[in-house]
Amino acid sequence: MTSPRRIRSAALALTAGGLLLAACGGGQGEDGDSSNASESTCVEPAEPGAPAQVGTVAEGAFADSTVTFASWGSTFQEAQMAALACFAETSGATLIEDAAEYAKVVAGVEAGSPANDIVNVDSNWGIQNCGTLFESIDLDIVDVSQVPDGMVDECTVPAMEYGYLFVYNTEVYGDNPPETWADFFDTEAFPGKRALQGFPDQSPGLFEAALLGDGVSMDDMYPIDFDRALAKYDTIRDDLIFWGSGTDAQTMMETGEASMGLIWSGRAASAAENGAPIEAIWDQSIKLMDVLVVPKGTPNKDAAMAALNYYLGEQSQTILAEGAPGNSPVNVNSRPMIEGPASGFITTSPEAAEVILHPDFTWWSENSNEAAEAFGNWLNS
Amino acid sequence: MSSESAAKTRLSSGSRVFAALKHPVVLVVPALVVVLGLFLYPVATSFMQSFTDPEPGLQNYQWFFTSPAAMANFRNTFAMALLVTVLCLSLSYPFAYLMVVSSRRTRFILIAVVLVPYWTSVMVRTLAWIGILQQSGVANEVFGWFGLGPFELMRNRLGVVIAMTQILLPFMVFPLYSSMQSIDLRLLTAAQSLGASRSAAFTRVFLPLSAPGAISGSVLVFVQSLGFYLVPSLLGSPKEAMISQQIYNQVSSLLNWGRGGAISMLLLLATALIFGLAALLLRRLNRRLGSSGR
Repeated sequence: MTSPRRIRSAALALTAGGLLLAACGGGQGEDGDSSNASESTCVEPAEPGAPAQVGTVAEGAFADSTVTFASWGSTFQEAQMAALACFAETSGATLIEDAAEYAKVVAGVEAGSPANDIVNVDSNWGIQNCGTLFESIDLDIVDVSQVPDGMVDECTVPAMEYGYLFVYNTEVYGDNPPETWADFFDTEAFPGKRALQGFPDQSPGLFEAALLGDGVSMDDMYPIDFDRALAKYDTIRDDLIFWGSGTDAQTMMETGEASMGLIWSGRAASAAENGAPIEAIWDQSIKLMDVLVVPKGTPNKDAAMAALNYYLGEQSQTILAEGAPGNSPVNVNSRPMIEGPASGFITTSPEAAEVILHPDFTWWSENSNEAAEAFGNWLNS
Repeated sequence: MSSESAAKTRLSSGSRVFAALKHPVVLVVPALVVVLGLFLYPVATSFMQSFTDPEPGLQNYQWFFTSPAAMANFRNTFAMALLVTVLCLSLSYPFAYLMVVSSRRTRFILIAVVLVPYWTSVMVRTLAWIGILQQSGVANEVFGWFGLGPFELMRNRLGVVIAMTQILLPFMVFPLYSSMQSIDLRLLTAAQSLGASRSAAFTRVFLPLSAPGAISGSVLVFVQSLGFYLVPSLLGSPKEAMISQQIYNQVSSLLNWGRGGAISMLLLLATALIFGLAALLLRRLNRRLGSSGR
């Protein structure tokens, strides 16, 4: 009987085919490698016992410690880990990557053993939970003298600066490009699908964009009128497509599924690097900031603070900004070299700095829960 | 002899241990520990939190029953699950019947067609569906050859239903197949010899006998679709979220653990009710049908 032999050869063929597919699928390398690495050696180690100096750490100071760094993943976290690579090398600490999740942070702090030593979170969540969830920044270890004004809070240091941008497809709108937020909501003059965030979160941007489109001036923005902003989004409900993640937003702009979008500058820059014909409107775009916090009760507190000190240094920030296009450094002396399509999406570029909207992070830290819930309810309605 | 009786006592104590190990309850203990520790304890914590977070009381359940968004979400999820179940049943029934009546070789191929996707990771399958259903994907390209489209097959309920049906098909096919397989096909011939037409023989003999398989499969598919997370979040629109996504939002982004717990408990209750009803139905059916002619 050939039947068992047939079965065996069929199984072999299936396995071989499967292995072949797996081999083909696994060979993807990094794309969009902005190889403007400005150094190949690390900064000189600090003198042990010397006062804190941003961007430095004493040699071998934390040889027995581990520092777990949690962030949002993808290109951005890779750039952050690259920025801290020299810290690990000089101090001897072991650096571990993790994914940031608010519920995990809360659970860990409540149980007395947080899983992460440094977490990258929204600025208002960081400010809001200072003291209850997060340790105060130890200014004996962390030197914040080179951080731009207004970005440091009691429990937070900035992780990087980026923006919530209005981007549009230049091929679709050609000679008649949109210019202001009101154009985002004008589906007659500017037809096409608009990409919008599809999940509630604790970050500013969504409501400000709608209110700016409704004619509210930057000075009258706060306190935010949630109902007015959501009513404005309702006027274009049929033309909205929602992205569920940063990758989603980027894909929508790349495939042309959306002709306009409200997306994060980092994602816009990556989409542009992948060839998407998009441009940003800087007038009244919204500046955002993520912060780094140290959860309360972590056993590696000193190592975490030292890592923060290193992270804020000029070299680390340059590595960060060059590795994650669309994000701006938070060290006043850092001068990253960004070339190519991504350079149109930097929030600290001169043309942007004048006209960008700075959200009121203090107001947001008090009202972010309400905002998130209002948006969530609107999404489900 | 004393050494003999000593050996006997040693033997009997050894065999007593053996006897104890053979006792069914002891064998269940490891599994019980896993279930109690890793499943019941977190569920109980979640249950407690739904009554105590942020403050003791029923406010989480109150919020759920008075929030139109939450109730609509619950209802829509059940409607979607029902739709997927009906679709799975209509697709699986002919397929399972084909499996029963075909030759061994054809049956092998049919089983492979169902099993091989089943063994593939759900993540991989969902991403494949994205590649097929997206705006510039395979499906729209094929439609384009005939001058149709492009259709919006993704980011809406249609895409979610298509992918969920495909992923849950094995759970319907196999219970149906095993139920149909045990039906003696001579019963159909007997019915025909008594004057029934072929279709009457099918509807009045075969169909009722395959009902237990259909019910088991339907329950499996329905309950699983209630809890689906990956497919709706990747293929659906965030504003047409299902219960699992709502729970995730409440717990992870909004940090309302009490509310997330409340929704989870209500989902668990609904699932238990469905299982209970199905069990009752199956028992009554089995009594009425007796043996299926095996």
